[in-house]
Amino acid sequence: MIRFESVSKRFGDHWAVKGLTLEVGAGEFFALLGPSGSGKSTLMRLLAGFEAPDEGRVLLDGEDLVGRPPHLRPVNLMFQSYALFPHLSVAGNVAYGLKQEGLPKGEIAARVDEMLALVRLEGLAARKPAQLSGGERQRTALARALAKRPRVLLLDEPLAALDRRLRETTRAELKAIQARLGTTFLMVTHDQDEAMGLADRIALMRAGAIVQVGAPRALYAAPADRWAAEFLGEVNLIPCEGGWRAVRPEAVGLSKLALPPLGEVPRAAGGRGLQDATAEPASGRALQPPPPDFVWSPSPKEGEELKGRIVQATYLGDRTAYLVAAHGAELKAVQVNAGAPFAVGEAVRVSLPNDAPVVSR
Amino acid sequence: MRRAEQAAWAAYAWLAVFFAIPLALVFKLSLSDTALSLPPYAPQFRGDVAAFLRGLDVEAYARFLGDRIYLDAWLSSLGYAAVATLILLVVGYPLALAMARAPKRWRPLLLGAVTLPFWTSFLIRIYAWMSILGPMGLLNTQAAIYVGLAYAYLPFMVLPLYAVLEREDASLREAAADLGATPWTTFWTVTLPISLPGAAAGALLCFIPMVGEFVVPDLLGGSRTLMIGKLIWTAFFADRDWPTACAAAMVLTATLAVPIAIYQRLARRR
Repeated sequence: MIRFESVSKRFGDHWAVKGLTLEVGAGEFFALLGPSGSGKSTLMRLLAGFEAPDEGRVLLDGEDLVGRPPHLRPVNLMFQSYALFPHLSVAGNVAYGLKQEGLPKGEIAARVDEMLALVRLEGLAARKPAQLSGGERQRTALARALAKRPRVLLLDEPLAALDRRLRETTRAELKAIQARLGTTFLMVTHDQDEAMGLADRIALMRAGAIVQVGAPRALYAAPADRWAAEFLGEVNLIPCEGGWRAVRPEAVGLSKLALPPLGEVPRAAGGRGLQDATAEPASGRALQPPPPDFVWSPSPKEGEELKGRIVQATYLGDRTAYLVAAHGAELKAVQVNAGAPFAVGEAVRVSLPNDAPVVSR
Repeated sequence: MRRAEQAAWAAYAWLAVFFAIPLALVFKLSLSDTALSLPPYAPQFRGDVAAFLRGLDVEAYARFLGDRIYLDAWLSSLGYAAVATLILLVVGYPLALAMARAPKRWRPLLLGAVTLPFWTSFLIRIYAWMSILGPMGLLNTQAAIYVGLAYAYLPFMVLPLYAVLEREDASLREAAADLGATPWTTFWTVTLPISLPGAAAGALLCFIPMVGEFVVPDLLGGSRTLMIGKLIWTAFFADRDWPTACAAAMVLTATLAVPIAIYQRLARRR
């Protein structure tokens, strides 16, 4: 449906997008995810028509859009700042695009009502944007952008301006509206939670190029490289043959270490591994990558299980984030708060998954 | 006292010293009679309140309203100022818009250029216009007054307009384009309505002093033009009729309070 074909865009000496090819299917909820300066906004503006590519083609249903001014493109954009017209009412904002189409008055009114119902703003049609809350403004912007029934709806950081609680509900609403209308949604965001929570597929971008495209689960579980692994969430990168094992904190298993029987003095010879494992890391509590001599042993042999000590515990309500000293390195671990949490200083048994992906760069 | 209250009292004190007290003095003068004395009016306050109050009357207002020439000058001043304000809007808006859309690094320079004429005496600049309009045969015509007024007040129109236009969020224009509006439609449906407060402020800033303008009609308009500012000047300095001049000034002030009140009402509703 949407196809960027070897698209490049330069601002001065800086390539915002360089030789990028990407395809988005009809009806998809697609996210362009990347840090600021990754070119994701430029890509969206190329589709909206606010920028023209220096090279390449931007196709919509096989039709090259390059050279066509924004007001003649069958796409609409929901701006990050919402860009609501301050002198027009909510209804006036939603009707603006329909008036440009020259639709008859009755039809415009009907469509405005339909859109306001869709975003649950029926009672606020006469309000000015200044009289709305942040969430109401966001929904007005959504209704305005959807009113013309665009073939593609572009969303620029759609949830960024909302507070956390509102973000949760709006996220669900946005997904429901997209499912109901079946319109292709192309979203730009720097927030991996927002992208993963909303999108069917994500294109992870960096420095004007695409790093990886895939479903959120695939990206999270099998990042293309070290940078992607770190951008998509917390991760333990453990050196191994051919690169690093990317182990997500929630995949790190922690369990109680059985106490030695009463009266028995721990033997120094009880395990070289245990001694090593529970030693405090050299640089205290600071997060650091494992030392190069750490050897990945996904399935410790019997009697050689990986042992660690809790260095830090951060209570997060539904879960607790731990730093575990093991083998002279610090591992990040997350556990759902079901049973009793581990205390700082407590010795634990650490288990690592056998199937953690290997990233090479 | 809280800080905000202190600021409010300072503002009221400022208004009292520079506005209310002088206005009260002018009002008192307008109720006085001319007299061959220094200053040339009576009564003057000498401690006896009753005698002082008995000396006040509305003769000067009767003179003002009875003499057609004052009424005509008053009406024609409003007319001149209204037309000149329209001219200023038409000339000033494109200029302000061009400045606001110019590259950011040029804007201080353009702003400087607009305010540059203030570096020279106003009188000299109007004399310069005499030497321009004279050879064109326009001196001592209505056109000369409009040229002079538009020239003299252009910065007061351009600066408030520039202030609102420069602040306009560029994403609003992008949103309009995104929703199918051509650049031309975008201007009429977005930029212009949003800039109306600036246009109103500029119009008021120009209209009010232009009604009382004295130098431009005197130097460029010739002896036949009637403007209230000129008549007040004549009453004061040629006729030494301070009460009538003050009565004219009071009527003028009262008239101008109307558009200001309307503007304030509109501004509050927004």
